[in-house]
Amino acid sequence: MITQYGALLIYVLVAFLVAYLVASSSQHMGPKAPGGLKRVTYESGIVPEAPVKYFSVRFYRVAMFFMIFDVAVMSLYPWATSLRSLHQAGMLRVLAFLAIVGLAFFYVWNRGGFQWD
Amino acid sequence: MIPLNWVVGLGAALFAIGAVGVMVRKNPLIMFMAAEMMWNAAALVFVTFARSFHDMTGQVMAFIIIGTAAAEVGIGLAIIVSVYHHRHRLDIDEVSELKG
Amino acid sequence: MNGALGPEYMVVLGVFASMIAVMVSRQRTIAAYWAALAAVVAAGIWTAALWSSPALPISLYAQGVRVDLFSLAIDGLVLLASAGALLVGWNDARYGADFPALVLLALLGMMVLGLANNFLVLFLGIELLSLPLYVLAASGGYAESREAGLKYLLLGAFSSGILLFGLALLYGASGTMVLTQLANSSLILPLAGAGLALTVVGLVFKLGIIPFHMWVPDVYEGSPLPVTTFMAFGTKVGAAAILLRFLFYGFSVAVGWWEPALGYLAVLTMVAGNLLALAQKDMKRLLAYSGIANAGYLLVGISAHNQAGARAMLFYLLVYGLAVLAAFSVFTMVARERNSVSLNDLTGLARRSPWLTAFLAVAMLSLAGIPLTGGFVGKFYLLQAALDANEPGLAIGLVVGAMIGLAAYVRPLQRAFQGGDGTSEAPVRWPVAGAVVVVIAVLGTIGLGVYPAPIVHIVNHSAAFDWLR
Repeated sequence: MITQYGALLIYVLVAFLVAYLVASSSQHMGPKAPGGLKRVTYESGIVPEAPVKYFSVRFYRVAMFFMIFDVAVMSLYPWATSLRSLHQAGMLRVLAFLAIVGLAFFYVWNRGGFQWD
Repeated sequence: MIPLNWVVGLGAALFAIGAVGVMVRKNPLIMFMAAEMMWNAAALVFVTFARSFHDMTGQVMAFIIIGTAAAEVGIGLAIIVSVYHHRHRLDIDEVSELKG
Repeated sequence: MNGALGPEYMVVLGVFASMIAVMVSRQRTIAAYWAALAAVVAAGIWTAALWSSPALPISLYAQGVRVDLFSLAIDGLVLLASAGALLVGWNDARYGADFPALVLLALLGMMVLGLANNFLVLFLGIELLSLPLYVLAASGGYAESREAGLKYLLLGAFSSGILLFGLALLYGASGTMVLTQLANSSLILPLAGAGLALTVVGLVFKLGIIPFHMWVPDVYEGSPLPVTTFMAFGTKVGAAAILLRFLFYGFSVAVGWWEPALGYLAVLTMVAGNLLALAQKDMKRLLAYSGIANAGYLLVGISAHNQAGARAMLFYLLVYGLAVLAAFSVFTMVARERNSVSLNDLTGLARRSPWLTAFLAVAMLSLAGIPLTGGFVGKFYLLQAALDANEPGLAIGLVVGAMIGLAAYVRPLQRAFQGGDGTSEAPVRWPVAGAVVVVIAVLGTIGLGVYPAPIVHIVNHSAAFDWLR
């Protein structure tokens, strides 16, 4: 058993080393030429139309709320697969859970989280 | 059937890559992504052991980790975006008015 | 038993009430604060009512949660911390209407950490504590707050990842997630060793012990003042409680694995934390390094690994918390619209506001451990625990650390008593809520120093880990 996990330890050490080498090799080996073309957004040579000062938070916000509520709803799947064996108690708990998610939804709405502008 | 040690080894490798990523990289988004990778490595190891023990608690733990990670990503991106919004560039070395 | 989780349910209801108050009420901010404060008071009353319940200890949810006198003592401490934070930031427009609900969520996490008896609840408690605090640290609209929130988030996620991987390895090594069953399970050794090391590193990160402390000063300095107050007191209580529970329940047999390591960390933290505090000019940074050093004192109680150590740690948590509440509420009054207090801001404070200076002096002297304050009694009990455990190294480290700390804490007082003509400077304004906090905290600090017996009685009952020495 000990030799098995000793091998695991060596594996972990090697993994750390390889990860470090790969992640840092570009820093050590790459030519350093700061400025100039390096700063351009697309190195293909296409110049962006204008310097982007503000990026729209709208899409980001919608995506974030979608993700959070999406994962909350994902919690329903284990309940749904064992719906019959959980009876009424399970139903009540899921309803309580949904009520909490609903409260959070209305809170976000009320605080202006869904406003497009 | 893949041996248990291999999967745990994969988890350890993912964890190591994530840990090194947090320490080496400078972009907060990448650092955050690396930290999430450490979480997912732990979730993988939990599921692996749960399967080998025929025990559900490890799987529940993985489920909880996924849910919590989503909440953390939501909050994390919100903070990163608000920093970005006020600076227009993201480099952890530039975010250093507070000197440690 | 149905009422065993009553305090936690009250806090959950408080979160809902505070959210609904924000949505419904016309004066949303003040309504949210009142709802949150009412929930904290109700939870406190329920905790006190549970104290004498004959059914304790109670295990719920397949032993995932364990309500005993220890968890109730932790409940009391964190309720005090959150009440203090709510009152220090009372109805301040800078922090917005979401502040009370977020404080209550973090409070819930701290209470859950006191109850946790399996890995799942432990992890949920840690995250419930951390996630609202990331948002709180970044709130307030200051550039440095956003920066503090970002740093806290990145290092918090990193340390949670380490903690989780450690827990996963421990689960694999033992086959169980329940802390009380961990001691009896046959551990697969190298795996369990690695798991224990990673888990302890993760928890110690949250506590702010020295090699893992780099986030503490930056986050404390950048966060808004009420949030720093809450973090300095509440987070320390939660992290210390879960570290103690995890090690005392899960690894009481395999003591040799963690006791020496934690002992060295404690000595390093006490000495280096106080040394670093000497050089600080910003008061929030000073208290941050003081918090690090005090986390070292708490670690003495844990690594002594006896009942006296657990008792001394609980007592010291209260003492430290009261001193922090008093100091931060004074700083909040001095800072007013700004988010920081430097040494220079304190110059001549004794002439401007003699009472406020006296309160600050009590808090600082208690942190330094001067007799007649709670800090002295707390350090005395810790010293006794270290000597009981036959660990003279810990005791020496504690004394050396406290002596260095004395110099660090006296410096702001010296500034407050010198300089300033008192002609141009108006006295500092006292908001009612902040005054309540500072008066209660100062009275408590002096009371604990003069007559600690009632609290010692409570602490002795709650830290009844009778399988220890």
